Amino acid sequence: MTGRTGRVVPEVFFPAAVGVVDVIAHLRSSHRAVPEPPHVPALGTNATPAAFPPRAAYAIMSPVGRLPGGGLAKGLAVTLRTMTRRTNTRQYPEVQPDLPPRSRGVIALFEENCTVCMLCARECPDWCIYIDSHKETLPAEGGGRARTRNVLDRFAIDFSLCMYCGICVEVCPFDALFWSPEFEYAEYDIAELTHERDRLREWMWTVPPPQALDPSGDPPKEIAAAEKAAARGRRA
Amino acid sequence: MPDLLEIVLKLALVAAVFAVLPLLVGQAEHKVMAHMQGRLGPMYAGGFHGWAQLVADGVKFAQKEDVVPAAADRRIFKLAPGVALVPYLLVLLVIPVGPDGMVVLDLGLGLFFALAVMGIGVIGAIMAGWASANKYSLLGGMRVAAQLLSYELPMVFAAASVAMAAGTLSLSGIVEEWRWYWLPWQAVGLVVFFVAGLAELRRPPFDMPIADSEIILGPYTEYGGLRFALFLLAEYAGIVVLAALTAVLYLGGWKGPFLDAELGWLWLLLKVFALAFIVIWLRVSFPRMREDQLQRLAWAWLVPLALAQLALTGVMRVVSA
Repeated sequence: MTGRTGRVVPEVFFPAAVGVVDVIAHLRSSHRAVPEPPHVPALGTNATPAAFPPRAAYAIMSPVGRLPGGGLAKGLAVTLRTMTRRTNTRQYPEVQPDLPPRSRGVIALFEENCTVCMLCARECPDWCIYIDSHKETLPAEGGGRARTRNVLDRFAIDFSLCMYCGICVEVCPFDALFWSPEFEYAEYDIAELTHERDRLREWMWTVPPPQALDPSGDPPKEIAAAEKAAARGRRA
Repeated sequence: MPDLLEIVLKLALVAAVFAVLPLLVGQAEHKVMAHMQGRLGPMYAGGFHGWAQLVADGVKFAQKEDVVPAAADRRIFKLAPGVALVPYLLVLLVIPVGPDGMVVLDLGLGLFFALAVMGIGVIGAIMAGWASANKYSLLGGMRVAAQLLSYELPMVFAAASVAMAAGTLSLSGIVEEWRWYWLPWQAVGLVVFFVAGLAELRRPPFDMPIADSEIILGPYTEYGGLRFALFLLAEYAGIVVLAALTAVLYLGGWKGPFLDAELGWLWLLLKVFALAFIVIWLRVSFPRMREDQLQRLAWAWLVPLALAQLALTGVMRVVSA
């Protein structure tokens, strides 16, 4: 599927054959379907975080605490109560962890979008992105002049150097780099940690759809722009 | 001949109990402690919830190199684990598991024997501390000695109170005499005996002698492999023995709600496991006591409490007689 800018948009984001209006509806509905997140007070406010029992729980126990040996009884009560609760252990190799959608596992390259602008390689603090390319001249179409374009020869990220800062993903102006939550790519040889273009492209299949927007947040700029475009289309 | 067979059978049974119960307690400690801390504990060894973890540990210990430090007192160093372990095996001989002589060794002085022999177990740790030629071991050994001196007294007082109440030193006799009202009557003695026993076993929160954050592992610092495993086994055997003695003295031993003669061993076993659970529970819940706090608890609290219990028992005996 080709977007308005002529770039290719991954299928996972917008299923093929949907119009702009459908996209708006899709974004709107997904954004309304988000369940209310648990109330987490901002740092610096004095509210008790939800993880701790409310004050009332301590109020019941405080007379026990004041008796001689009450502190000991309280300690025993805490450990006994913990024993009756579910454990926090995640049995990782047997049970996959449920990672948040924005987990920084591995960087995927959507090479169809890459224009070899080199911004990612330049911004990378570790200089762990290697890019080779050459220029190609396209034969002139119709009456126009011949155009040149960059062709990607090599794109590699050395994950033994990468510090997972995500600056390359942030800085890419053409949405060619994405975070994937996949993290199981340990190797016995450090050289194997340099993922070449093909491998980086394969990671693209593991990139989850973007997280739904915060219900109380501003509507995304894309929606405003798309609505404007749709209105213009109706007027015309 | 049948007598000999019976003795052999009993000894084999005691040996089996001595081999299995400490492992069960150790495994329970792994699991209970883990769940009290919101963890799962061992999950892999043996397949089902890590039931074979201690077996695997034993295999690992057996494979390790046998190291004796160059400057160590070799003979004492090698003897110490045995001295720590064997007394607990001997105490098991006098623990009655049912009425009418269901005990390996029915000693008239059973209680005296049990307490005296349990004290020897502590000597093993002192020997280890002395023989290791290591300052941390020596410090730990000295702390063990100090702890033994302070806690043996309240323990013996508390046990003497029970002997006075029952009018006999025989452990079988004490269980025969036990009535439900001993629970409130000897409650203070129960607490004193149990706490003093814990201190003698150097279980947390009384693990000052092995305080790993300050003196590495105290008397056991230089030990590794099988010898260290024997010390570990001695610790868990000690828990079993302490729980069994406490159950016999204060909780009516093999007496249960019904079928004392047939199911006596089961009631005793249940009591032992309940007490072992408390031992583990205390370990998880409380931080280690400082050396001065340890001594203070023994001399300022346990000894007076034990004496008060002794006085109460004496008065009650005279009044009811």
